[in-house]
Amino acid sequence: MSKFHPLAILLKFEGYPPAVAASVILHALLLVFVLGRAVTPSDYVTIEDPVIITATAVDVNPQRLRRLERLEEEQAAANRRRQEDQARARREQEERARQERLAQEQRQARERAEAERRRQEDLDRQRQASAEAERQRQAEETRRREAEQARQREQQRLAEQAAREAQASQVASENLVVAEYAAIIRRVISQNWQIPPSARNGMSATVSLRLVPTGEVVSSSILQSSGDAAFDRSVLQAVERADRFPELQDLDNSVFERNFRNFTLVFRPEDLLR
Amino acid sequence: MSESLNLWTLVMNASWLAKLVMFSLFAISVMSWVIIVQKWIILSDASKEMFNFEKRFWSGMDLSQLYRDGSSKQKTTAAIGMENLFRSGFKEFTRLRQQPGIDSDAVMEGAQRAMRVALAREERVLEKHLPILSTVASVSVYLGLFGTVWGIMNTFVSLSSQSQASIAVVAPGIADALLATEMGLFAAIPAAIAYNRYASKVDSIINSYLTFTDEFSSILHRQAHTRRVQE
Repeated sequence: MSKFHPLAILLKFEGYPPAVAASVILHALLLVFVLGRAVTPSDYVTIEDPVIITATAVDVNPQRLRRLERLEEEQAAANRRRQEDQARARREQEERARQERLAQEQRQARERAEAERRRQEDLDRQRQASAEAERQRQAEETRRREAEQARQREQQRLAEQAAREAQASQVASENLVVAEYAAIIRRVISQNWQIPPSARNGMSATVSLRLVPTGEVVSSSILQSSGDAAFDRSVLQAVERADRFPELQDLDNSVFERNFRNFTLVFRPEDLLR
Repeated sequence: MSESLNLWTLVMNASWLAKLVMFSLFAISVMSWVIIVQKWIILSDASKEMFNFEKRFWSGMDLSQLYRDGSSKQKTTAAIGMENLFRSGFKEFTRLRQQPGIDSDAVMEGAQRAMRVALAREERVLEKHLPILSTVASVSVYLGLFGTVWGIMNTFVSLSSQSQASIAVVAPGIADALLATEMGLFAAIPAAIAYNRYASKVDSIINSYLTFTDEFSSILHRQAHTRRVQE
């Protein structure tokens, strides 16, 4: 009988007890394996924060900027030199005229004294002494005049120097302001610039902007094409989208006229990729 | 986020609905495995019995001897499967044959009816609980998905209150939610496999029973009619 029923024990109660036991054991094992295992966070893939690249278009390339600054400095130096030369020449002329005048006076005085002496050669020594005193007084006066002139010259020189310094500092502060506003313009335009897929490193397009004091762009044109029409177009579109730079309203009018009436920008894609 | 993320804490941190889904899925999994194992025992026993009985039946043994062997065995275990078919048919046949003046066609009809009834019973035993497996296979996936969708929805709702969404905020909630789908699949896959396997096995066993019924009735038919001829 048991020969015919190898599963006889299992078959009691329709096989339910072994089935329940097997199922419970299976799930208990599962729980032990799955739930008992602690998953440490190091098992997770760490996701790094994406690197955010801010796009900036640099106006003129630094070399060009430096060259311009150098040029300006040289011009200023030349101006200064020229002015100095003129001043020196003028001073020398004055000096010469004065010396001549002095010499003439002295000569006249001498001649007068000579004539007097010749006329009153044998006259009393007192007159001579008084003449001597007179001469001394005259010499004293010339010395005094001379000193006065020297003082005036010194004053003039100092005033000139002060004016020069003031001018230099004014130029420097203006440069600072210009750089600040140029940076604003550059930032606004580069935010609006969508670089076309055809852009390649090494391309550059120079754009000339005409601005009015309210900050609006009156016109823009490509001064120097990049050679890629899409690139040029994207640059002009960026300018168009930027439309106006209200910050420019704060600018001093003369500074605006000197620097922003016509404004040149160079676009190059590698500035963005950096 | 805790230092070590235990799956158990993950389950415990879930919302009550997700917990309910997970625990019911776990219970369903246990239940389906009970049925899988039980059906496996029943079906393998049935096919083994069938094999043994067919061997004895076709060994040329006397049918009344075979019946008596079965009777003595029945004191320990109830006859199942093919032997049960044989016993009910044979019992009805001998009973009717002992009735005086009964038509041999009527005897045959009675025996066949008895066997048909036994076959229906056997069929019911074999197919019992199989629909549960198929239900588990199809429904537990949906139940798991339901838990997952609920969990992810909750995660996003709580995310909306955060000013900055980082992966560390979203991850535990989503892992939590996915656990429900995982459990649903864990319950569904074995149930689907077992259902397909057992359904075909039950089919083949019942086919064998039907064949045996036909063969046995032809034997009985022969006996009934030869006896009438002798009379």
